[in-house]
Amino acid sequence: MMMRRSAVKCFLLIVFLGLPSIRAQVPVTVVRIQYGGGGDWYGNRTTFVNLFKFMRQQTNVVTAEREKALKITDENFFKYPIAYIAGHGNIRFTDAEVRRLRQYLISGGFLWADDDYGMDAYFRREMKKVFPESEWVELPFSHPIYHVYFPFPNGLPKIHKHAGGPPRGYGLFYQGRMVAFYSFNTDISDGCEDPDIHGDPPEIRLQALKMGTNIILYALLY
Amino acid sequence: MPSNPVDRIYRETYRRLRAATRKKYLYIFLQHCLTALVYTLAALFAFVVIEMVFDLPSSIRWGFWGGWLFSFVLFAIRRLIPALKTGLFPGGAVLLQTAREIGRQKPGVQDALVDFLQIYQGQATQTDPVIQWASLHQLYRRFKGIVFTEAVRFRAFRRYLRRMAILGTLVLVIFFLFPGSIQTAFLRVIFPGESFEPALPFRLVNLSGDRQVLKNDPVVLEGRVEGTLPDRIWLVTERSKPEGESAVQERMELSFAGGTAFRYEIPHVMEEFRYWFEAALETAPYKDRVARSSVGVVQVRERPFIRNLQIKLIPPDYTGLSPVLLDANNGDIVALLGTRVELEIETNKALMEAYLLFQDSSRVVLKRMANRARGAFTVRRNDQYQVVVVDTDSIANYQPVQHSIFALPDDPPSVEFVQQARDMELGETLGVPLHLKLQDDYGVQKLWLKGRVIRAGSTGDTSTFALNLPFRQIDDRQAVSRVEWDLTDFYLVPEDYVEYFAEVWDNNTLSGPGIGRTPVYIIRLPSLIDVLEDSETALAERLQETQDVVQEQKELKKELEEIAREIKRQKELTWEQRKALEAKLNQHRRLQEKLEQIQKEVEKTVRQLDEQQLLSPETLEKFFELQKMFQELATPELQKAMERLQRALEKMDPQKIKKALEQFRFSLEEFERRVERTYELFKQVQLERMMDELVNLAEKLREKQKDINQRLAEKALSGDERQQLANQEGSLRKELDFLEQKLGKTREEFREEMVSVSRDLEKAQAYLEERQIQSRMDTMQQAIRSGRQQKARQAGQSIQSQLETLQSLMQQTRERMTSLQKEQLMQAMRKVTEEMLQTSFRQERLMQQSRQIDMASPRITDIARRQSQIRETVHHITQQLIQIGNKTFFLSPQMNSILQSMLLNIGKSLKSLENRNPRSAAHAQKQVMAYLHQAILSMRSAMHQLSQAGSASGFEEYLKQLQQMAGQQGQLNRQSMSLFQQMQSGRLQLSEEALARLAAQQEMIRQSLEQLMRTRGQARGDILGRLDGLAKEMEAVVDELKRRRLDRQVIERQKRILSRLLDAQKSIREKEYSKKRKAEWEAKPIVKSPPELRRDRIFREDALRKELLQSLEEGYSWEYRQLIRQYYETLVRQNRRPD
Repeated sequence: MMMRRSAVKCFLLIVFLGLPSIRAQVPVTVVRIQYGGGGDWYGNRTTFVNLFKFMRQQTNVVTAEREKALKITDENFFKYPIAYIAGHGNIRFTDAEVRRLRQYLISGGFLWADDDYGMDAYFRREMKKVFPESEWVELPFSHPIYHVYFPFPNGLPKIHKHAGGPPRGYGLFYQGRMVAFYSFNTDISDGCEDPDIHGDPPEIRLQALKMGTNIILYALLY
Repeated sequence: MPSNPVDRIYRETYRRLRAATRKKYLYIFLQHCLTALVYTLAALFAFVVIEMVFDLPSSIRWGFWGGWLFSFVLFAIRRLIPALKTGLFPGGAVLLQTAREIGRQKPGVQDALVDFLQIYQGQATQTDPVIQWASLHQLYRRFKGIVFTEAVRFRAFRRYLRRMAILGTLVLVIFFLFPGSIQTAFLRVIFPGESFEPALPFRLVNLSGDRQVLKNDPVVLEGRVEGTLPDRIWLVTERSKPEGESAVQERMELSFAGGTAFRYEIPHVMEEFRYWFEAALETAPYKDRVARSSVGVVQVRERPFIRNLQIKLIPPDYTGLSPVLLDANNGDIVALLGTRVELEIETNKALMEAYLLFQDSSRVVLKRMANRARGAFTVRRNDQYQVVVVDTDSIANYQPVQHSIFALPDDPPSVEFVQQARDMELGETLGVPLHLKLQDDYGVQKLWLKGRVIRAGSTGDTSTFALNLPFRQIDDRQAVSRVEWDLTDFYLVPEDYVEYFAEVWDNNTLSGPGIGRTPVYIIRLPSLIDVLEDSETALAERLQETQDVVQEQKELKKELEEIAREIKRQKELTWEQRKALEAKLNQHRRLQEKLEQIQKEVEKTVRQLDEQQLLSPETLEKFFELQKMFQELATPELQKAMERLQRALEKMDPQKIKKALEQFRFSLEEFERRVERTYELFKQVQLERMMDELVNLAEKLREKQKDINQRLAEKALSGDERQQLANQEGSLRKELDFLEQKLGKTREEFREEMVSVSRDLEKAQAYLEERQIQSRMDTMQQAIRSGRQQKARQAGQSIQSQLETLQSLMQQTRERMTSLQKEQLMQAMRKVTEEMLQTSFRQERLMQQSRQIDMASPRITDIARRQSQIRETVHHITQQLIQIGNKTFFLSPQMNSILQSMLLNIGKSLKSLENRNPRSAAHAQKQVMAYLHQAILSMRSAMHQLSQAGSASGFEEYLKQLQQMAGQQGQLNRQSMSLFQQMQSGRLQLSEEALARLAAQQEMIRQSLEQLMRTRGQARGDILGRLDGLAKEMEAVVDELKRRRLDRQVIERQKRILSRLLDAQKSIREKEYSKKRKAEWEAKPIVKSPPELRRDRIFREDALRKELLQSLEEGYSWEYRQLIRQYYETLVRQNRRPD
């Protein structure tokens, strides 16, 4: 059974990535959550420009030029299959945002949260409001998000030092489906930015772009 | 009973003949009946056909039957009844006729029977009875043995059969041609009185008939239409119910599968039912009429199924885990690889076969016992299996459940370096302390330190190594290993490096040990150039950072002054001002942290330089002092002032804030001065370090050249050895290039500070260029490579001598630098001391004058003016002292506070004089004098220390003495050991004289040590504190020897003494580093995957939380929702508590 499922996934991947003629023509993009609370939701301005460009070059996936920034309560929020949240500081969701984000995620949406260093406590607190019944689960290195396109046998790559220690990837599950992925203590988004912003070495930047690609593809395929 | 024999035989013959006659007429009757039947049937068939064609009215059908009846009656009267009558009561003529037929049939009889009858019947005539008897008897004998009835045969029977067959064939043909119509026509004929509707033009045939299927299996029911295709067709099923309840019918409309056939598949048959097909035409005259097929029955047979499944998991022995019984009917297995799975099932039926079927089609046969079976297998991989059971009727269970086997791997063990885990450079001890932490689910078996030695600096080859390391078990899962890894045996030379990692094996005996490894780290024996370049860069950066801090501190001070001015003008503090002050406090804290960081970095770099012995003891000591200065930058007063200001800001008390700010600013001035001084001294030490490095580098080059020369002189070298030596000469040349480059750089640095030193360095550089040592080295390298050993040796000697000259030039330059510095400083210090003395005299005179005058004296103004002049002088002295302090460590930092206090008291004196209070002014002036004397004493002490430090003997001499003592102790230990061994082997009787000599030598060393402690005690208390204990050890040894005791304990004690003397030398070099070294290392994280996701984690559904969510969605008020949430959280906490 497992093999059959794997085969199906491989097939989907081949179809999705390898056959441009039949892949979806709607460009893939991400909605950046414009949250309250004072944190800098607007950071990492060049992350998705670079990541989408990298994905177009490496995977033939049709991607938009850049991400879209919206509030969770915006009527168009549900049009985007993947939401992204990042920052360095406080995050605060209103009750309406909590309800809507929950609805978005249980209806098939996917959230990628990337800790820019400093948002961990606030983000976890707010997500607890959204999914009080669920806990963040640290993903094993065998999880498909680390292998869906580029292999990361040791889990998340370490991009920036932040608090020191290894990077950690957490998943939030709802009825068995991973609805949110939280990359902590590495800063994939920073790694995807223009090279002169953080001065990351090319190999580190490449790792970040590859991992970013994996996250987007995982959100689309699983 | 007739007594006459004639009568007797006649009667007998009569009886036999009558029986034959009856049989004959029975056959005739039968023949008539068949005739009647054949004709009736033929007529019926013909009439049915006519009816079929013409659909005759009822009267004609009645007419047919009337005609038939008439004919039959007539036939019966004419044929049947006479035949029956004759058969039952045959007359004489009939018998005679029968007798004739028998005679014809039986050749032996012929007319005998007829004659017999006629003779007998003619008895009454005149025939003689005897003759009669004789003729009769003779005739009788001819047919006596004949069975008359055999002569009667039904010969026409076959004919009738043929007719019937022809008729039947005809009927069948017509029937098959018009099956529906013929049946209907037949019925109409049979029931002439009934009114028949027109027959449907088709017929339904049930092709499936009765079927037997297994429960849950599919069944296909098929039929066919004969004749016209109906418009609609149905399958009707009827399930019988328990008695008293009516059967349940279901009607499903079907469609034609193609042609005239139709079918319906019931996918899962669960119970027995009857079924038939029905069809109808929508058109008149058949509308509302339904044709029905024959009824079939589908019978259901029960399959075997598993009523109960029980699994027991027995983990592998090496894990030490207990067996686990899974919940009943839970067939999904999550178990460690190698776990034995024991499985038992109970079924509803007796079994013929039971087995486990795995994904790869392999099977494990289970042992059967009636309706139970059991078996076992071992978990080897992730898999799936089904339990297949087959009952005694060979029926297998329906779609057996697919159970999964999730094989948990025995996680590989992990190993991590608790400390020392990083790429590092090897120190002079060639030892690396390793502290490893090992972990595994079920314990570890072996620990290795593996890696390879890459000899980039010498032979260029690579070799691997694997060292088995000991470890200590903490519990079942954890172990630690602490080892001092000695790399001496690797014979590393600079630029060689060792790649190493730790590898741990767990105790998995099933699939072989799991292996865990640390990342690969590198230990490198740095080249001289590396160390120098790194340290150069690092120290230059630190110097720059210190300068930045100085600059930032100045700006901070300026901004604080501005804020302080603003605050003074206002009564209340604004929020912005408060925030600004807080920001400045934080900025200052950051600066302090930065300085701490700089100090740590400098410490690290100096340690590296010291390990390579690239610093002179004087410079090293200056670095230590620099460290101390860094550490003492933040005075306790400053810390207190900061705390006060912080507290005042929190309380928002403007008065307290103003006061605390003043104190903070005051302390900050002191801090600024200290930082500036530290920076200036840092700059100076940097210059001295550069000079040291030049001297030491030149010395090292000379020594290396000497080594190479010695090797050339020793023997004729092999090809490999020549290559190696040529490489070494090449490295030497690189180092000389580096020296030359460094020489130029240092010369530039000194050009601004000390021109004469710069000139000396220029001379050394010129010497280097003039002698072209580098090109000589190239020549020598060539000569070594080409095997011209003699020529190489000559060139080597020449290079060595030039390097000696170079080293000597460097040495001289350094000495000149030191003496110049000392001279300049001493001069400045003397000058300041003199000024202080003069000021002291002036202050004393002024104090006496102040004491002698009263409040109204007009001299007060003059005294105040002169006091003011003294203040100016003190300011001047302060400036000079700051400048001196920037150049030497020997000026105590306390000098600053002395000068501050001095100025404070001068201020008090001036204020008192202003208030015309000479007595109070005199008191303050006395204080000024006291501080002046304190300053002079401090200055003298600094001058004394400077002169001492300048002497070449200072630090080096101290080390030499320790070295000498260690040598003496080593010699003494050897003597003691030799005596002890001889005594042990019985070869020697200990003499008092020998022991006294040993005791005297030990006493001499002890006295030397005490002398050293007396002379150096004050300066080196920390190190000599350790030596103090050593002196006591020596004393104990002397006592033992005096008591004529030389045993194992004494030998051990002497060993300890030697070891501690050697340690003391080392500790002088390392000085304060030892404690801090440990804190610097940081364990590098080991990359280990988090555990695999478990279903219960990703499908977690907490009932309490669900309840909460539900309740929150039920529209309670906000207050209520908060209450619910709190209640829920309390419950969750309670639930978690047992964990």
